[in-house]
Amino acid sequence: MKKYLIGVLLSGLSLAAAGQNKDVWITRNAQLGFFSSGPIENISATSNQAVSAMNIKTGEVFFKVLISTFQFRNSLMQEHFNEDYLQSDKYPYAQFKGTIVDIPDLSKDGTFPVTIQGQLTIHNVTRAYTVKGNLEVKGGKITASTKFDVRLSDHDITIPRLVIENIAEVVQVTVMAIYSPVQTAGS
Amino acid sequence: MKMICLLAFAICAGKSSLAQNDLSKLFPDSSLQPRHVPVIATFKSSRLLLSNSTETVAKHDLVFYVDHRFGDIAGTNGGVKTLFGFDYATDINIAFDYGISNRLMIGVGRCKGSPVVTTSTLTNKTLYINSLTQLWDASLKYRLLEQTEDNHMPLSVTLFGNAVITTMAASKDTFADAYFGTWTDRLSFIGQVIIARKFNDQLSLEISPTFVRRNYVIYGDQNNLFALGLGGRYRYNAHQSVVLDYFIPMRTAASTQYFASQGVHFYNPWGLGWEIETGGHVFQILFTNATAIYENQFIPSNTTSWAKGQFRWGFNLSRTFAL
Repeated sequence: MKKYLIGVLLSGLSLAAAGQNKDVWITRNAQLGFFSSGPIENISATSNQAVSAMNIKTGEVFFKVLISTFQFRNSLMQEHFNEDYLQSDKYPYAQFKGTIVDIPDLSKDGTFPVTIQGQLTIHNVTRAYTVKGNLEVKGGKITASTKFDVRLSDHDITIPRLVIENIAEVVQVTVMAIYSPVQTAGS
Repeated sequence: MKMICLLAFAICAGKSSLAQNDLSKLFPDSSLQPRHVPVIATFKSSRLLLSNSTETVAKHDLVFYVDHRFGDIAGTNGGVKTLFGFDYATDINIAFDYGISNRLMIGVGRCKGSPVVTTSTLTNKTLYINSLTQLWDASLKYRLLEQTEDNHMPLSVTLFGNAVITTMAASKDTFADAYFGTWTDRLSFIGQVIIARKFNDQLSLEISPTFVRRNYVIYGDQNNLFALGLGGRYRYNAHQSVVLDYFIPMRTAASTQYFASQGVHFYNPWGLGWEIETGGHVFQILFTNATAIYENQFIPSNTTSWAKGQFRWGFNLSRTFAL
């Protein structure tokens, strides 16, 4: 309990401190999803507990998610996903650290196609990614969305031969994050 | 004092995050970690090997089981002529488990039953130690406590109860346990508290205090019997494990002596199995001295000894359907 309080305090204070910087926008419930189509059944899962921050001046972007927060329709798949494929007890987080290339002026409303470059860490393996996405500024919020492919073998994720679930070698990842300026979220 | 230090540290951490302009500093791990996350996959199936694990079937999942126990591998009834027990299926069970919620599971099953009938060396009369066959089982299992990753809850505790009824024809022999003076004599029950801990990715151990109630037993036997179940699973690679299940029935000295005087000895049932899990299927190939599949029979009435070659191979097979 005490630990938890301290954790909240710590993050709260660091948010408050960062809050002085009007360029940092954050969200605590970014939605991440992935989808893999197979001959027998499609496999999909989502988490709406990813955290993310974006600096609208420098274009820096950060995402982090606890692997075990991904929810599957099939609980057995969820168990295999955590226990065998992603080994979430050993590698509990996935994260992305990157930069939006040539970040547009986000001070006025509009939709802006962008390119994001950065390092994605899944299953303790970090790879460079360049993905295309969209930023939409509207009513004091910024919505970021993107879709890209992750090759399982790039992150040393192996599906044992014994497994009957047909899991595609490439899964499509979707990201949707609605950012608010940090001071409103922090207060 | 400790708090002030932490506060100071927090402020510094906050400031430095600004200075370094590192967005990741905004989200320390502790702020992402939900509290008291339950540990998953302490065991792979709601059955350990001979008896129950702390697992229940997930909500709206249906699990189908087929279990077999063959005849004695060695000893007087085994050997090459019976293909090491293949010719004699001592017990066969088919069953379904269904998850009403992620904590509550119901089950039904039909089991052949493995009769234990012998002749008293003292009186030369037939001893119907447990002659029941044609067994129907209904069970209820409730996951009371779940072990959590942060050890806020160090153990998983699951409650199990079943009722087994036999539909066999009543025996005319008044000394038989299948005489069935009233219909309630056909019933037996198990009540079990299953306590387990997943120590790490490989090792899970459990202990299960068990109560067996048989409504009608022969003279000298016990209607009520306590037993202690001990078991564990060692997962040596992603999909394969070794599983051990052992029961210590607490039969009274008087009852043990009474049966010993008639040449009947009870042996603690145990089994050693190899478990293979393949997304939705769990196969267990096992060796056990127990002839019966239901705890209601093998906990109180196991007269077969590993040391006399009276062990058998068997298999448990399960398939999960996500409805």
